[in-house]
Amino acid sequence: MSGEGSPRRRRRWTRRMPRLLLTLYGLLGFAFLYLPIVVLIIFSFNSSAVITFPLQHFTVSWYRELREDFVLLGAVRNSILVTAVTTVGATLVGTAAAFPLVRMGFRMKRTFNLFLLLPIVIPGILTGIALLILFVPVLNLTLSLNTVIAGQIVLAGPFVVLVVASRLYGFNQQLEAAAMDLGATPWRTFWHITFPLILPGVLAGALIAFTLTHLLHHRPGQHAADVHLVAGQVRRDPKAQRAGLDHRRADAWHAAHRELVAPPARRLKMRRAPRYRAPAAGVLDSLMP
Amino acid sequence: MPRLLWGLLPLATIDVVLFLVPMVIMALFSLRFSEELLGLTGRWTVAHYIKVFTSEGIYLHILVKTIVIALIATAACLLVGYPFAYFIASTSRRWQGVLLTLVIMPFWTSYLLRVYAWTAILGDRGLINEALHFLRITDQPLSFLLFNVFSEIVVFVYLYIPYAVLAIYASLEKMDRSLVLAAMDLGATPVQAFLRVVLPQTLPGVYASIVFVFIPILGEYVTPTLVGGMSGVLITNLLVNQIHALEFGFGAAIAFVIATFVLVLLLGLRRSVDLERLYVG
Repeated sequence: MSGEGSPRRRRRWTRRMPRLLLTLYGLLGFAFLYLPIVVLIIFSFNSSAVITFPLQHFTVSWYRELREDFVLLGAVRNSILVTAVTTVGATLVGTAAAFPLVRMGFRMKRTFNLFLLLPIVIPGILTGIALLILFVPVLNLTLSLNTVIAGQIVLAGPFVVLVVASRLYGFNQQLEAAAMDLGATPWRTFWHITFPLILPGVLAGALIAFTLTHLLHHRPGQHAADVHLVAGQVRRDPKAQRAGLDHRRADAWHAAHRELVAPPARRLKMRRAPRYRAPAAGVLDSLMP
Repeated sequence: MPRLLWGLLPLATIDVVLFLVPMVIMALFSLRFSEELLGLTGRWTVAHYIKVFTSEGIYLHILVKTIVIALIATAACLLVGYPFAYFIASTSRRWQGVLLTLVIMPFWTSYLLRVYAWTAILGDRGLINEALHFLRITDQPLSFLLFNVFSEIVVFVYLYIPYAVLAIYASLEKMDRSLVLAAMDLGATPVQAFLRVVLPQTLPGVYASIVFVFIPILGEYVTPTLVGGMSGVLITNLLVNQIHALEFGFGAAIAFVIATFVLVLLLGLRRSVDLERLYVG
């Protein structure tokens, strides 16, 4: 009895074993991805000004401080501006370019495609420094939010092209032909047929442009020139600054982060426009003088 | 409808004026030597490049070190990320959606803070050391965890593994599963089936993750600055130092050496990775 039962049980066990190990591995993977975020949330409620263990006592004072920091609020305004302009600009420009790239054949199309996608794969810091050289020694411009926006659109535009293009590839053009046959003008056809159908793609493109812009703010290094340099203050050795990074500010930042970034992330899951995500980005700039 | 072609104009103009032209100017700058700060006057020279490749080998050494570290981090991303992607692909449709969202979610939080958080995990009074101390495994904090090449690679893997997972997942999804069953029916062991059926079919995903992991790491600047310490200095740190010192010519030369390396790599991978296909699917 047991001689017959146990091999079967063992077989079932050995069949499940890889599955269990894989699931366990997956859980460990997610733990790895979320550990730093959990740590940050914990420290945003910790009374100590430095982020070291053991934890002190629970507090919400960092969140309160956040609302009273005017430097920070100014940066928030800047971020909203940059993100809004970049998102709208990149979405318009990218969508317009996606149509000919998908629907038309022309000479050197492949080369042109590669050229348009190049800003995506070239590390942002190189694009940023090239832009800095153009703006400062060559054109003698004053660095400002305008130059930041210019840099962001270069990086976000190609992403919009990709997303909108993927939507256009699956587009049934007979619908447009039908509308035209029924007497619609091209303009009317566009607004009543084409636009509603590609809208998800355009929104996804806008979301990517938005996310990228918000990320770029968070990536002063990778896009050093975009943020640190093009933003107007050619800053001195960043290492020294970061060594002197004010931890209390940093924790206020954690608080900002939880308050401004996490709730929109939840909203995002509900497919609503994440309105308050960008602000947190600008907070960073005030953190890193 | 040739009118459609006009749609290309704005983006093409932006790309030419704000990407191509700056890159060409940067290349020209790297070939100029000027006595005055920010000067456009000067003479043509390859001195900056000679300095990159000689000057007691510092720049060359750091460049090679950057490439090696990026290679190690990419290999680690692939090794750790592959089973993870496999796990996601092996779940039901509904779970796949949830799990993929969970993989992408960290992107929506601050990049810099996520790097910064690692100092609270790996530091002398960080999560790991405090836990080890609490469990009485160590009396002294392990100081080799932070501010060196090790912590740098850990953070690189942490930051870029989602890209590797997504790329590998995409190719696992497209894979024809009946081939795996056929291989098993014909007597292949699971390991053989994986190596000879699954892996070759997912190579595009592996190549794609090289583009989205290895190349961005070459341009990483925040991570070495925040967690790399003295031993973790990478080429981008040297590059940004030059820019901050307003040594645009020499900085441009360093930037151009990196850009050339990236371009050669992309051209080499062009046959393996169809960039357009990656997104269009």
